[in-house]
Amino acid sequence: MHRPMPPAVGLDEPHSTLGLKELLRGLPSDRRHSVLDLGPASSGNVQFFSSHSCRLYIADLFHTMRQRGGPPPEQAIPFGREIEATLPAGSFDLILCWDLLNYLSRDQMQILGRHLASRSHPGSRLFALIAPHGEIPERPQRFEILSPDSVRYSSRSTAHRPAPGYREPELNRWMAPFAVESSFLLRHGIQEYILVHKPAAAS
Amino acid sequence: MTDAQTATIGASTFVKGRIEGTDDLVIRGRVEGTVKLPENRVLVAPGSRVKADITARSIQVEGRVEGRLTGGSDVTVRSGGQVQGDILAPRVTLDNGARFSGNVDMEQLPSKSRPAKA
Repeated sequence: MHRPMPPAVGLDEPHSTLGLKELLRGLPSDRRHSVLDLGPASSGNVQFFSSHSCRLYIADLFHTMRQRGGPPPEQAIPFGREIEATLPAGSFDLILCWDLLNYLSRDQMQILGRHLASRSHPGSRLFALIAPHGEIPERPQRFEILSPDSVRYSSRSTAHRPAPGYREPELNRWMAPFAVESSFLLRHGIQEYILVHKPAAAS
Repeated sequence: MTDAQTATIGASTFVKGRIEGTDDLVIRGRVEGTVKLPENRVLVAPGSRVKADITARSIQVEGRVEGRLTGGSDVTVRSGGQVQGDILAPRVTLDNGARFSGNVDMEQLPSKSRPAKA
């Protein structure tokens, strides 16, 4: 059955979120946290993380890579170079992937996982939205945090493509050393995942 | 920002170096270097290209900027505006359709860089 992903063409809708609150829970309050946002910039996210005393770096990965020379190539090596050139240095406590993983192949996801691992530390958490079935907009959407319970999805894409439908075992395998810590299936069909950077096993 | 207290860098003008002063500034052309107007407003107009660190009381970007933006009061990136660099200001607004990559820091700036308002 072909079920379309709810945030369809040109919509600008708030949706509930369960993962966001969970993502923030457990962050120690004794220091500022650094957040890497791989999605497009939005005022709401800046305000939200500022109010939580976080330092925010916005990478807008998909669009920045497109601007640097077209859509992300399927070949692993150019993609890795582009990722390296686009991501900032530093070690981040939270990484917001939003719906980016829906637009990556298995190889690309593995490369991204490795590059994010080098910019995080054991215990760092990653937030991703996966469409388990149906269709997704042609390009990643823009997500704006309205409150800890609500996020606005907006898309300028008029075209759609099939969702790759990634599942938890695939995320664990391809995004290593990140592993799924918790997931939430939302009413509108999107699965929110929180992955945590696991420490390397002692040899 | 079109009164007598506003300086304008025209669309066909290229400025390389350090810009300082006490007027508001509208940039319509190209600027490379440093812009330091801590008491004033700077507008980076549509079509302009700026490769400079900008310090001003208020900065509004509608063109393209590569550099660090320090706003004593606020920094706004309008739809169609593009910023690659860091933003430091107590109030930051990124309109839908604005493109930005870099650090955002909304910590209060040191009082020296924040102008007294009449």
